[in-house]
Amino acid sequence: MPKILLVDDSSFIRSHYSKLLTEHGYDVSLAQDGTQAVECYRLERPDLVLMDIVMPHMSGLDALNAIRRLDPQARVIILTAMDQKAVTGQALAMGAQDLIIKPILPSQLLAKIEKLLRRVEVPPCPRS
Amino acid sequence: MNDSKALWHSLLDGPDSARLLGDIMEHVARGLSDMVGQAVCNDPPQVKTVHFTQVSACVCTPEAETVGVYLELEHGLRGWAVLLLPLDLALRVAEQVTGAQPNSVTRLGLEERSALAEVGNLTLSYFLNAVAELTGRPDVLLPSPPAVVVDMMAAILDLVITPAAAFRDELTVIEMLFRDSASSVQACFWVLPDL
Repeated sequence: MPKILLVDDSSFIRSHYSKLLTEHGYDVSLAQDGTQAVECYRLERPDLVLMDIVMPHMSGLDALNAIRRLDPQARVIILTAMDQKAVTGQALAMGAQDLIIKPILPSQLLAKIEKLLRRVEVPPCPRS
Repeated sequence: MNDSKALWHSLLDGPDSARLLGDIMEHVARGLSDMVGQAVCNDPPQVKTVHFTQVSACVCTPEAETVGVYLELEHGLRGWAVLLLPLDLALRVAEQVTGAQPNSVTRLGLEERSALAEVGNLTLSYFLNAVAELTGRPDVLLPSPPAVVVDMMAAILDLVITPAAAFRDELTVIEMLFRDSASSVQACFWVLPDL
C-alpha cells in the first residue's frame, strides 16, 4: 500500500483528503506544517508528499527544500492556491514534480498521484 | 515609496484602476464559483476612504451575527483582508465545501470553521493571483494563514481595522460584494491596503 504524507495547516483539507486517499487504498500520514513534514518524512520515508505552501512555522517551499536534501528522489506534489508564475516556477525549480492549484478536484488529485507513483526511475545506461 | 505602496497606488489611483479592479474582481468571483460549485455574482468593486471611527457605518447590518475570515497580506503587497459571511450563508457555504447534506449544518464546528478558513484563504489568493497576473508583477504575493471569528459584524470590523488604524485615522477599503445568483444574501470581501 503506497504511503502518502499530506501536509496542510488546514484541518479541513487534512481530514477531507486523507479520507479520500484512504478510501482509494493509500496509507496516509498527516502533518500540519513544514517542520512536522520534514520530521515525518525523515521517520517514515513516504512514497509521495502532498505539500501546501502557506503554513505557519515552516513554509511548504522550505520544507520541500529540506526534504529534497534528505532524499533527492523524494516525490512531491505542491498543493497551492497561489497560481502565480513566481510561486509555481519556484516550486518546480526546487524539485516539486507536479502542482495542483486549489480548489482540489478529487479526480485530478488521484490521477496525479497515480501518475507520479507509476513513474519508473530509469537507471542511467552503463558506459561501455 | 516602497514597492508595496507603489503597487497599491497603481491599483487604486492609476488611469486604468477601475478596469483593473473590475478584472481582479471577476477573477475572484470565478474562483469562488469554482469553489462552491455554483455561480457567484459580483457588484463592481468600490474603493472607500473612511475614518476609523466610522467603519461600522459602512455596513448595513453592523449587529448581524457574522463569520469573518481574517488574513494579512504579508509578502509583496502589504495590507489586511477579511471575508464577511452572514452566519446563515456561512453554514450553507460550509455544507457545500465539506460535501454535507443541504441544511444539515446548524452550527460551526471545527471542521466547518476550517472549511470556511480555506474559503477565505482561497478568496484572498484569487485576489493576489489576479493582481500578479494583471500587473505582470514578477515577485510572490502571499497571504498569511487565515483566522476565523464569529461575532457581530461591527465587532469583527473593529478587530480587522485595529492594526490598520494604528498609524492612521483614515483607512482605504476595497469592498467587493458577492451574491448567490438565487439569493439576495451577500458576502462581503474587504481588502485594506497598507498605504
